[in-house]
Amino acid sequence: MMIKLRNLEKAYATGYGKTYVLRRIDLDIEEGEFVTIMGPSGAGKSTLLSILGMLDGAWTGEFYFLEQVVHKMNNKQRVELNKRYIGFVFQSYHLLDNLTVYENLDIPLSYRDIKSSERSGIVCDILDRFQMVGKKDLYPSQLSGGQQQLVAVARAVIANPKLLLADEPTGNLHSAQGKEIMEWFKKLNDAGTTIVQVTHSEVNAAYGNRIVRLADGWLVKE
Amino acid sequence: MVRNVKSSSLEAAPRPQVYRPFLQNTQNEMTILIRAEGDPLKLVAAARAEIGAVDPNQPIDNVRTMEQVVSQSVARRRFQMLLLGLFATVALVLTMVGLYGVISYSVSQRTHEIGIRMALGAQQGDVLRMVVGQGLRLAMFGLGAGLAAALLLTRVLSSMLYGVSPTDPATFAGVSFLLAVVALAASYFPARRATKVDPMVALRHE
Ligand SMILES: Nc1ncnc2c1ncn2[C@@H]1O[C@H](COP(=O)(O)OP(=O)(O)O)[C@@H](O)[C@H]1O
Ligand SMILES: [Mg+2]
Repeated sequence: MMIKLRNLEKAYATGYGKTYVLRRIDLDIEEGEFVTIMGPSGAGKSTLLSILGMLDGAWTGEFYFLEQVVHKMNNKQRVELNKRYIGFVFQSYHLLDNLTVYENLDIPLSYRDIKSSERSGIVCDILDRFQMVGKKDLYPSQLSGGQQQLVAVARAVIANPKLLLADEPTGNLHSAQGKEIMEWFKKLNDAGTTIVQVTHSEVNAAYGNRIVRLADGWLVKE
Repeated sequence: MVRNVKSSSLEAAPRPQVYRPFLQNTQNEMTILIRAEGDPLKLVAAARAEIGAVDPNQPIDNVRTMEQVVSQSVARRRFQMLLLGLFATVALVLTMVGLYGVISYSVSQRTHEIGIRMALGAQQGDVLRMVVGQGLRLAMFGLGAGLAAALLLTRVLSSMLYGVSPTDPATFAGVSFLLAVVALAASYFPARRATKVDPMVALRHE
């Protein structure tokens, strides 16, 4: 089992009370699955994904990740799990504006135990695969939204994560580019990478093997 | 033949001079210098008695120790230096406060970036090393420029100093060290604060 959530809840304090964003979430995800999270805007999809990605620790309930007890961990231990196992594509890319495409792609490698001599080879490899070799010295502001999204996807997978979390990764791509990304996710999944994606597209969802629906913070029973 | 003597003020360099017998060049006053062992003021009564013995009508005034003479000769200078030192201290404190403010503000502006880096696998130590390293490098540039300017400017000061070189190494090292410590603290604390929160919280920081 890769992910096991039990009675997971997240709330924001608002005025006198609390506003729940996630309610009593029970969810199991096996290693090797390709899961799609769907639901209307504001349902809590991004929130759930960032909890799965260890980017958010302010929740209650139980969360087991590869049999490790995440709900007992501190911030540092969670970041360590993220670093070892997880790649994350943000809905809003979150590229570093003052770094080039090449440097953005190198960041995840720089925080892992990879020899710097090997790093440039890995970056060039992925640039090649995403057909962005010619863009490597450009800054994010010099790219179109679709190209920035491609860089964000490339950066998420560059360190070979066991779990890939993608928040609307094709939102800004035209359908040909989107299809390419999805084909590629499929290939990664076939090679063993567990994937959880958020999407509004039924076409993209069809690449996965299971759909989880969220509405108002609740899991919708199939 | 005598050695060089500073007779008018501490700052004036000794000029060539000769001593002549008083009677060859009489003046209507005379200063007598007495070298004493122990408390010189204890000799005053004896000195008055000796002078009275030579000339009972001779008025005697302005009896001072050499310490008082030197002290009075530099009193004005000392006050100027006190003011200068006060202004310099105020300037240093303002510099420290300003430096802290500028650096810590610029680091807190990087909260969003720090969130991204942590989401991409950076540990607290990675972030602190990066931010503090960059802060120190910046401070080194600033100190380099500041010290160069100070070296040039202190030439002006040299005429006002006695016993201290205008490029006093202890002063230069001390001030540099102080400012480097300020730069270090100003990068360290805000960066640590940014790494303590969840990456998600840092990411929302614009
Ligand atoms: N910092 C916050 N404070 C209060 N409410 C928030 C905050 N962040 C998100 N929310 C709320 O959480 C809910 C879920 O947001 P999100 O997970 O981004 O939804 P989705 O990705 O499904 O569109 C939304 O109603 C949003 O308003
Ligand atoms: Mg969302």
